[in-house]
Amino acid sequence: MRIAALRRTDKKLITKNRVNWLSERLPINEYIRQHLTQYYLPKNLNFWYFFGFLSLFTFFLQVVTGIWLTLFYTPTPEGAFNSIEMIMRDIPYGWLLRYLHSSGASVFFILIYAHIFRSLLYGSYKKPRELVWLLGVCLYIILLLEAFLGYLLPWGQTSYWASQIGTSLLDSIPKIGHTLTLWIRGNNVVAGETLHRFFAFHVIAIPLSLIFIIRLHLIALHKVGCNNPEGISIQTKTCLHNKTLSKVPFHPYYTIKELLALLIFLFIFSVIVFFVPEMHGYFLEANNFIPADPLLTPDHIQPLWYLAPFYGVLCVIPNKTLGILVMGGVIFMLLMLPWLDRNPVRSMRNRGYYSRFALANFILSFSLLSYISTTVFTPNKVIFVQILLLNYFLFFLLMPFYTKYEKNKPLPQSLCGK
Amino acid sequence: MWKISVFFLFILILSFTLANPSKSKPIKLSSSDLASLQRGAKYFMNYCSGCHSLQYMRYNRLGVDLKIEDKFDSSTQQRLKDNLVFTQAKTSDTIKSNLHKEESLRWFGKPPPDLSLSIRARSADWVYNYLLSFYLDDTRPFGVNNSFIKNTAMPDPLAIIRMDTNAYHNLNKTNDQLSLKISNHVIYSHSNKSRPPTPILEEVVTDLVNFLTYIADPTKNNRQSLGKKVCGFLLLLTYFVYILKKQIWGNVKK
Repeated sequence: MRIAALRRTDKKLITKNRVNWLSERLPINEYIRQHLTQYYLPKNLNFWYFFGFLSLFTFFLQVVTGIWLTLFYTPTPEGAFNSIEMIMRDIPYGWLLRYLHSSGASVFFILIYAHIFRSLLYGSYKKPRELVWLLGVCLYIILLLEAFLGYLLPWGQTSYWASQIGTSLLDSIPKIGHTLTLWIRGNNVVAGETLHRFFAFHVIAIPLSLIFIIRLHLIALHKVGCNNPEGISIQTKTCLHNKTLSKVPFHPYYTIKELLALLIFLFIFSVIVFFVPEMHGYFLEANNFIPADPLLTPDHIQPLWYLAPFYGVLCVIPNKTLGILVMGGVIFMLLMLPWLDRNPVRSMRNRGYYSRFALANFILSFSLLSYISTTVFTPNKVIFVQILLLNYFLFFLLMPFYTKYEKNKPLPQSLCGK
Repeated sequence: MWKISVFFLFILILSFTLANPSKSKPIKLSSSDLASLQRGAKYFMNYCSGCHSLQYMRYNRLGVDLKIEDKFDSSTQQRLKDNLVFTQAKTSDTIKSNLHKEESLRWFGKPPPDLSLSIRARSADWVYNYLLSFYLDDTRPFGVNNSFIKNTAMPDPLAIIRMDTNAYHNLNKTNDQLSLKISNHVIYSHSNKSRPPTPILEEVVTDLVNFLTYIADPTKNNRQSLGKKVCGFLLLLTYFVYILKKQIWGNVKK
């Protein structure tokens, strides 16, 4: 009996020693303290704050399913379409991996849009979080690029012709345009060479840069701390007058909330993956089930919904070079946002009606712009989309004025005692 | 607020799931109707497989899924071979037609497309309406035209059934003579009592489209039954995590 007890304590000691050995050589404990147990967050974060974590989760889901797909995928014009059908039919649970990856891409963008909307709603882009916002917009741009590159890989009709149009945009850059297009495509048209390099960029180059910038995004966030729905700065961990907390540690308070959010998200995501993976042509287009045919241009080239607003901009601007400039402007405006907003109040909860109306108008314009761009353009629609585009730019260009002259509500003093 | 938003998101997804945009005559399909799928396989092999291949589908997969062949009983393999394999193919092969590309070019002007993904590329309604829209037209090389896709290159594969049931709908008055011929043919065919009763055209096409829908997405039933289990498990787990969350947040004052 005594020997057994001794052995048990011995074992405990050994594990303790091993943990000690590791923590003396790696800053594990410091890291856990700094980012989990002693990382304090405002206690009033609502569900809009979970989309960042959910996007991160989806990113890793994309990486893991992507690695599995590359085991079976063949990046050649002859083999690409067939290998995907092989994944869908012959490989056990290949369909699950493929649908997780293809629906995951669309869901990723929905999460990212919700995440961006949260920033606009509660002013998370304002001082001192400008860099967090800038890195976030960079991530959004790189993610668009990643999705565009990945979209060629199934080698269906829509993939092929969308890439053909996408790469031909570079052609209208003066002087270097033609050489640049040739360099990107590796051929005069989208061909096997293009597929090879898009594959390489999609699976290695872009995901690596994404990981790097996501890390920076998080480091910058943890340096300045999290904003909250009231948009007020909280310095102290406790309120003095009634001794209730205004900030709570990340673990266990937010880890459990994030877990709950993750499960609800996974439930909705599973409904999509298992029951409507095509989402009636929004997540997987019908035309993409026809193998790419360089000799047969489809009547209507429908862009994927998350690339649609940019495609729509190109369609409604008559001049191609001007169209590309406007498309660049659409993204540039997002980068300028922290310096266009002159209202000292962050959250829409405490702002005046001008900002609220402008934001609602902006969201509506962008959503309609995306939706109409997925349909066939008619002359009437072109004018309507031009108006929506004007709305989009007015939101940013008029911002310095309406944010300066609007009447704000008084800010709450603290998060306690409400 | 949070609950309302989740509810709305859920409603949004549900509405997307249920909304089914279609312009043409809709078709009612049942992927679990095994008899219909088996009949569809029969019709496909008899009327379509001469020209069209199903290059992503294997005979044995088809056999197992449609319960024609038993995976663990090799004697049932012969049943599949006798009934559905009309070429020299092995049961582990994909379903390929024996039509030569050059000949098909000479006969139809273009090679007949592979039908593995036809339903996903078009839609079940499209294929259903296309197959039902053949009518007699002397100006075309095969004597038939299609009102859904004008001047289609494909001859009417179901002409025999259509003639037996007189199901050609005449669009032109000039076709009166032809239809007279057909009605004679109908009388002739029905006078032969040893023949089994001819199936109704709509039912044949429905079975065919049902079969092609299965071919386009063979994992669908499997996927949905797995999906129900996964969603159920997630709901259960969500409930327990919700209770845990209540516990942990219970001591934090608003």
